Amino acid sequence: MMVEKREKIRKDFNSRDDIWRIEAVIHDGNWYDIPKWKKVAKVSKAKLLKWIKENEDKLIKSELNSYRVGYDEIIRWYEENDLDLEESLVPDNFPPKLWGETTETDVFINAPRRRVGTVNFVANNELYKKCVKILKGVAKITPDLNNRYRAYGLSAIHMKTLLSKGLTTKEFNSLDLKTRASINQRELIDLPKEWLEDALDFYVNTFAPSALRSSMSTIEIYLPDRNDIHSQTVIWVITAMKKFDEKASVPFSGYLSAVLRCWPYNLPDEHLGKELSRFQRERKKAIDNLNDNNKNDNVPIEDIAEAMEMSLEEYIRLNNEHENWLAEKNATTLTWEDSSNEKKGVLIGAAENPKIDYKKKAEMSLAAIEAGLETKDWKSTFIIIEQIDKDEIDEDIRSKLSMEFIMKFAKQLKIGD
Amino acid sequence: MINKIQSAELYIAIVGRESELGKEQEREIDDVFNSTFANYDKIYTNNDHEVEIIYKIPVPIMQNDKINENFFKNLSKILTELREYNPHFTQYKRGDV
Repeated sequence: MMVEKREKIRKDFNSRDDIWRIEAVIHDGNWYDIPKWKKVAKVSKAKLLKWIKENEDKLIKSELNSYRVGYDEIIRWYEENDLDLEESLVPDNFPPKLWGETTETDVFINAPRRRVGTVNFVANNELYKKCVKILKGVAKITPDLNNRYRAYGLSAIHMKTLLSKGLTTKEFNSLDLKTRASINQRELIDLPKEWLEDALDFYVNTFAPSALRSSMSTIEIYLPDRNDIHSQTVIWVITAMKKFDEKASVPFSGYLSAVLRCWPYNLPDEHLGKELSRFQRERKKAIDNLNDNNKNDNVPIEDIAEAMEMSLEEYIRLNNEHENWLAEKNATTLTWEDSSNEKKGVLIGAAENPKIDYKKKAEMSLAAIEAGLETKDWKSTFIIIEQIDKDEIDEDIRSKLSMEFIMKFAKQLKIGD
Repeated sequence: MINKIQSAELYIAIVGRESELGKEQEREIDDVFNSTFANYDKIYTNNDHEVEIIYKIPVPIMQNDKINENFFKNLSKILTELREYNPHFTQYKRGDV
């Protein structure tokens, strides 16, 4: 949301009376406990409690003493106040999420998580097919991390027994089976299709990019291709939908925001394995500390190994693995141009960051306009605008611009300060 | 002061990844253009998950200081309010703009 728009929402919200603010907050359809509701609505506890007492018939109360309103009440209040359901009313809050003509809270309550048992195993294609056949009608099998599979069913013990009976002893032992008694999870199929489409679109394309902004530098190391980042974001959002506790009386967006702050930091473990990922982290820390102490970029490996409290042999082994990973990550394709013998290296999977050039072009565009407004030299302004984002800049451009305009344009771009 | 104009319209481009320039953002950008210019054309392209939106803005036919100043103030408003999307002038017509 743009700064100006946010500011407008804040001003409008602050200018309203207490009752309106109390109602605007609760009519976004999310759960609010008294402290949070009071804080967001910027009202006293006494005023809020009085409003709750007078409007009990409109409210839904959770076992954890949180409150919300349902779909019909949201529609009624917005219509009564002649408000646009797609506009944000409360600073930093989204408008009510009413995809599929229901509230998000109701969607999760109507699709509660179920207690399931899981077994996790490793198998080649042939053995996997055998396991699928044995567990047909009992479990759903999905690929898991580290080339393993995970079967979800009502009872982990029952699944284990079926597999032990259906497979040979050798096959069963090769599964490296790990059972987990029970986890709570919902299936995507339990969520209404029309709601899911809009919710995924919103959370993947609007919500997650902003929530992931602070960890994007870590994500881009392991997922250099933007399509991979998009796919990973979809996986994270779906995983959060499966795990979200509908009884927690908190909004799904709050839960998603919290997990998106943590899950990107699992990427190093997933891509490198825990040992190498820990080695990379500790190596960087050790080098940073040694550099701080010595003010010297060339730190002997013996010192790094000592700082990491590991033997030199162990350090060399892990460092070789680390360098192999770096080499693989930075592998280049060789493209022979038709017209020359030059080799051109391109980072595999790396996407060009489009923002670098566009940022400069945006700064030049604004500088041109501001210089134009300051000098009122419209002719020079039009001339410079026609040069931005052009394949070839006119060589004699400088002679076509007034000196005053050039000076102001340079000042706007902070050139020659 | 009257100047002859170079072209009858200006083009402002906004480019970004599909994940950063979704429907919600496009609506916000449109809102800013709607509240600033009475007339403009727009073309949206999505090429390999990179979204490009180009707005064609007609340059005022009558040219004098006051009209130009208003026109450039409006352009300044657009470029400032949408700064996070790096809006910039472009020379290239895409599609049916």
